[in-house]
Amino acid sequence: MDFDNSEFIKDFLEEAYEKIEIINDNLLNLEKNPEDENILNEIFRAAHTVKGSAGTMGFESVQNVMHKIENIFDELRKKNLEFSINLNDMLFKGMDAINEMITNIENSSEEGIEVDEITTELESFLSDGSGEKKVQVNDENKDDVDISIKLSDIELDIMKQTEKQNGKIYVLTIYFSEDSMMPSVGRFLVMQEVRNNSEIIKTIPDEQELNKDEFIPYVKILVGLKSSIEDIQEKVKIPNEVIKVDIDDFEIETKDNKDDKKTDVEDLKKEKKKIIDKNKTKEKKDIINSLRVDSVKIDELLNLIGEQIINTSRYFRLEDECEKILQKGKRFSNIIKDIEDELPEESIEVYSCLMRSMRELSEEFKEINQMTRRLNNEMQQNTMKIRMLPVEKVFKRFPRMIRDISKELGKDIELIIEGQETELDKTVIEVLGDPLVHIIRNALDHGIESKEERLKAGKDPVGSIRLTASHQGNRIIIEVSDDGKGLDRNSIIKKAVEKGLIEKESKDLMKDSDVFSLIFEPGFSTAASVTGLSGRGVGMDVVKRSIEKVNGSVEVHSEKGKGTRVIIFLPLTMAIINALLIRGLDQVFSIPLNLVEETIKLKKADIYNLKNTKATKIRDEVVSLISIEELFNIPSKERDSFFVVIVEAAGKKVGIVVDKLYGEQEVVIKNLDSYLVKTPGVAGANILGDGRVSIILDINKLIKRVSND
Amino acid sequence: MAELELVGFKLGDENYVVDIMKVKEIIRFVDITNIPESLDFVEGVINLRGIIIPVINLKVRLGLKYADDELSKKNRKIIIIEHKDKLIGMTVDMITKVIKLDSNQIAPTPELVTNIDKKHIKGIGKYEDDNLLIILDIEKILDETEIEEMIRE
Repeated sequence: MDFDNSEFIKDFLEEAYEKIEIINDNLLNLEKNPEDENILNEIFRAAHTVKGSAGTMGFESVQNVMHKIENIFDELRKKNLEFSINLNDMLFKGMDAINEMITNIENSSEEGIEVDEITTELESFLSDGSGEKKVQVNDENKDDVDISIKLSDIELDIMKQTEKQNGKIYVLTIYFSEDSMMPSVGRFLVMQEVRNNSEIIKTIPDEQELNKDEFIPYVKILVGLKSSIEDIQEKVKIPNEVIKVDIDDFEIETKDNKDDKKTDVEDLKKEKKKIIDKNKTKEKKDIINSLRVDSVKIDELLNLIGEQIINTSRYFRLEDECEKILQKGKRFSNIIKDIEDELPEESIEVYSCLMRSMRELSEEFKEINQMTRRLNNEMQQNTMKIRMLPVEKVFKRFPRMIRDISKELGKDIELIIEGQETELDKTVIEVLGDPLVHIIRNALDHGIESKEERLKAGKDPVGSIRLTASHQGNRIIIEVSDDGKGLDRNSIIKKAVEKGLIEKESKDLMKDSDVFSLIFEPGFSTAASVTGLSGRGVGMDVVKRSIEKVNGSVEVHSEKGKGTRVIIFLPLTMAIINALLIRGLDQVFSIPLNLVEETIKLKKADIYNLKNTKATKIRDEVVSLISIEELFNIPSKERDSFFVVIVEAAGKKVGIVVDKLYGEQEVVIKNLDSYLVKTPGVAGANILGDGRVSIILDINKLIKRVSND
Repeated sequence: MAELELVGFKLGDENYVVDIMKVKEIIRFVDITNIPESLDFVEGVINLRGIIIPVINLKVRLGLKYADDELSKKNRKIIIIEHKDKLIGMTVDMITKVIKLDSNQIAPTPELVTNIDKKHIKGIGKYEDDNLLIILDIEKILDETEIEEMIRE
């Protein structure tokens, strides 16, 4: 491309992805309601938009495929074509190709695939005599167009002259294509052809109107011909610009007054507006309701607010200062009480005046600070909400996925989605997709039984998968449940013993929940056969790790013969976490609270010395202890009494020995991305109330490292 | 003649300068949060108006061995450098003043002028008779490849 379009490309991609999603969603809906005109129209509009912008950007393959899809929907709308599952499969195939091309464009700015085959296949659905009907439809259109033209006296003279020179007078009605990139340029080219081949007497709308850069559905031109009707019809019909050219005989009726002439043009304008409005109303609504903002800008705003919060904490200290001065003042008045009579009256007056001012100042401070605290809080909350997106963004892809996979597996499966309006932080949304794909594929593949098995077990032959999102306190819960055969305790144990994950002897002691959580261990898979969909045993441990990366956690519950539930717990936002602040190594560290099980206070005597580690007993459970120093390979310091933070990390329970606990706090996570401080075990940092920096510990990494040593 | 503006400071008894164009600001000494297991010359991180930035101890980075006496502790400052669009703090013992030098007042680094590795020095400035100023090369001192290699070792 010869112009720099990098800026437009971003917009183009965003729009394309959005429209592709709309089309795919509606294709699924269409299977259920193939007659629904709203669905057909929505797909048509979306396809039309993508085709248009792909053309502008010079992505011809996208444009071609989209054009075919658009045509198909045009025919479907007009009922010239009947909907079938076969057609829908083909449409999905076409959309997949477009999606692939758009992804390629995003990555390498090239479309990168051949589309000839797809366009031919799509075309084959169109070629059953639909062309004929199209003309008919356009003829219907023509009925709406009044081909009569009113002329002024001068125009009548011109016409008479032309009639002498060129013979019969005709009315050309030229219908323009809505797809024209530059309507005014297209019209200019058309008019040039008309001029070359005829003598123009009058155009409606007039030339001035034609030069404006907006879409006009058709133009009427009164002409005397210089060449044959066929010739002019062919020359004027410029591809992409003109849909159709009608040539009609012109007969003079009676002369009309000026008012009528005006209404003629007005009507045309109105009609034009109507057509445009029809196309725009839907999109306009979207534009008004949402605004695209670079997420970096929101992060910057959030940073500024964080800074403001820290800054205002200094005012809160001033409040305390005032209080202290007041206390001192009171003490002073006690001291001078006894000698009050000896002091000059004026000094007592000045003193009480001073005290009064001080009290007022203190009250004022308290009030302002209270307000500031509230405002700061709201400001932070609201900005954070801007980063939130409905979980629908992720859920959207599953109806299609389940449709395709259940077809492939020959299973009949119904998907129920609930709570897709639940909002989550953008970062979390981005991470959530792949784990959910894994979980749902597992449910489809291993969870839901075949039709025969289900009938034999007395179940509904149609299996169901439920995907729900809900809010619970400051967590979001996402649950995938199926009504399949459930997890098999015995085969999980057998596999785990085989893989050396557990000791054979311990199997009878294990609770169901402990057995089931074994599926999250690396390299675990119970599937008897490895299919293309899932079951390579890489799924569930990756799921767990991805979710932990965004400070979430995952649980599995199952009942034999009834089904399996996988529950994902996620934080509301990535920017803020609940942390436990502790003291160690002479500074304050933050530990993400989602990993903390409990905290206890211990004395030196509570420690047992095992082989080369220390441990303690908590409610009959042996928990190994690691001091905060040892986490960083520093020799442990001697402590007589200390605190222990019990964490569940890297698959086991460990107690971290620290000097002091400061309690829980919501902290804003800041990145520590500098080559100077790239050390393991540091997950980020946050700024404490007094302005100092506290390091957030990457507990998982630290404990994994210590246990590998 | 090209004129160079430099910020002068002390490390121990010696006078050093850096190009003023690299200096974003100079702040008083604040509490530095230590990063466990970081390189010895990395003092830690500080909060500069809501942004967390790393701070290095320039003396340790250059391999100078001066004890931190009470005087130097009192006057210690942090010079905030802008390096590759990121801010980095450097601790120095005392800020002296802004010095202007003409390019003819700058000589190439002779052998054995200080204990500092020659590659970290841009040149030697002669200022007001015989006062020698060591012009430090910030780019080299903060060189990412060199530091990443140190981390690997």
